[in-house]
Amino acid sequence: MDRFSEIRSRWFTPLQMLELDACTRCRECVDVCPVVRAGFPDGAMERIAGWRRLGTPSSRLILRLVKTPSSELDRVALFSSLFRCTSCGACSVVCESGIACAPLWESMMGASREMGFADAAIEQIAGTVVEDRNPFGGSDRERGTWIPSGARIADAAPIGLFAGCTSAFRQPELGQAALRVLEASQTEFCMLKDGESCCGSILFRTGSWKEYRETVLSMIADLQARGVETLLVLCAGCLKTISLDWPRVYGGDLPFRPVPFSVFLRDLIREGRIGFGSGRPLRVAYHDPCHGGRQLMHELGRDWVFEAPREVLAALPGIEVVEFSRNREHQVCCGAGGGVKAGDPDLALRIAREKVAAVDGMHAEIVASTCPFCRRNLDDARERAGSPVEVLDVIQLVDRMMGS
Amino acid sequence: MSVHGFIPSLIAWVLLLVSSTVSVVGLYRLVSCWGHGSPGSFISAWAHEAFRDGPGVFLRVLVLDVLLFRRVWRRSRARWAVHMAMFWVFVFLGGFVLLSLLALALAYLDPAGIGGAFARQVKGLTLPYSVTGYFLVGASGIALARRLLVREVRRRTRLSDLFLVGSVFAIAATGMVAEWFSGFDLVVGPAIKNWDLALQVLSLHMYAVFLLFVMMLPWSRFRHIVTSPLLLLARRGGD
Repeated sequence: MDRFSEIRSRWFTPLQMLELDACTRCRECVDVCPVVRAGFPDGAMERIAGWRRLGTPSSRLILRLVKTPSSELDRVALFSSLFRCTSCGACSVVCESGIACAPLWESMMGASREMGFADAAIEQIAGTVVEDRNPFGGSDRERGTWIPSGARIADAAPIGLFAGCTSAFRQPELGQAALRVLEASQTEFCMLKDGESCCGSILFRTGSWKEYRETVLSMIADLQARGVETLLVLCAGCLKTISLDWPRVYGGDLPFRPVPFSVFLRDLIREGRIGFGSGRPLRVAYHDPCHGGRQLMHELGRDWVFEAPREVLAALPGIEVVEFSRNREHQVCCGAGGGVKAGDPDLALRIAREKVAAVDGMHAEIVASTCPFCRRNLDDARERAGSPVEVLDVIQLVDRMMGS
Repeated sequence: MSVHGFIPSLIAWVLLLVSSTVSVVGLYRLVSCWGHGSPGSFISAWAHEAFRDGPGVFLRVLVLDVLLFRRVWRRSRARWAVHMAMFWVFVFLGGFVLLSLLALALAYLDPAGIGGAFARQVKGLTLPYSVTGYFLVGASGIALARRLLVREVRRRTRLSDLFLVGSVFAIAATGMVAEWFSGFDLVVGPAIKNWDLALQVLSLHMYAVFLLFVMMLPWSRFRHIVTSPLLLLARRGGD
């Protein structure tokens, strides 16, 4: 077995090997790719073709015979296309052959890193996550500073809250809104607090998670020791990682159930455990985050990932929910995922600008989501475009209406 | 009828043997590659995934996604029509050729005197055979012309795409011309009937079928005919 095959066998499952041969080159994936729409040529279809050319001796021979550009150039194009992918998974939804693209890119990235091709910006963040246990380089001491003194957090409880790094280090208002909702509904819950680490999302997305295994296992053990049965997750990226990637590391079903915070909010509203004042009429566009939406629809069900946040918004007084022309599993990515926000921030903003323009066109005052990372990127694009639209998390809207 | 009177020569038997062997070796190599060197590990992983939700789901995916292209239907009705037409035309033409071979064998052996009756039944399928044959030649001809003549389509066409479409066109066109000279074709009829020429073009058609399709199946983009259904079944329709 040559070195390439050896690396490949470590990163690709047998079904992923089949996927590499199953592309019919129908171009559906190219038409929906946000990166291609932003002007880059290589979508999922070419990425799969590029990987095949890299891997099969017969393709390499044909390449030489027909004198197509050197395989080295092909390699550079392939790897740069890989690290420019937002891993939004829109390609999977439209693939005629049912290729599960996002996990395939993750395997490709892992193999690419082992072959010596890595993106400097992503490597730096991955290193920071492994070293500091968060992608922002903050210290353990800083992590808990967003929690207001006096917040009633149990040491152990059947309900746990996983806030995520973005809440802890960049958007404390998000976590604080969640705490207020939990308090208002008199829900007893616990947290890992300073013991919480990054869920490892960027490491899983970019194929560098193997160095992070122990940290994930220790968080699972800690949550289990606290008696957590339901883990409420504030961030779509964390939710996907905990739901899909942690079980791989753990080697089976987790001892608790990860639940989107919006599902919990919907339950509170249905049970009448939180109430709202009156609100002025507002048009709110709901953006389905890729990682908390289409990538989890098979695992958590469409009701949880698509309908719960919409039902929460619709229950708020004065709010009219408006839909993007492409919504739910067909939602257009905001551009932040897959390490693109860190690796190519201009590209991330270019993709988000299209989204902000769509919101403006819908005459919506607010664009709401359940992903702090989408929120950050959309807010950056909004600011750059000078749009009056407000970008908020569903939790913030609920918190705002509770206080009104 | 395309194979009436076609007696395979020694060369044709060698061709059949070589192309089938190359095809089988290629398929084995593919399965082996998917299993990282072990065909067994791929087959067991595939079977585990394909039957994970029970035989009912397997059958549903087989009918709705593999045979009726449900995923394509969800995206575009026009492309679904093209997919359905291409797939079922191929299935029909392939089935007809097999029936004709059977008719030939029965006519030659004539067990219990049914050979002639069976051949006459098969001959009754000449109309749908001609119609679907023309359809395939037309569709593949348009696809080939677009890839060669329309700049935007040509720009994004790879050699492998061209081989796929070109092969389908070559197979369909030689089959159609052989049919013309045989005198069975319903449009041209017996006007240009030339049995010797028909047999020569038919030989060419069989070479095209074996060299461009059977032999190349696992080695070219034709492989998606095998891989795409396998994946849909393993991913339980992608849902």
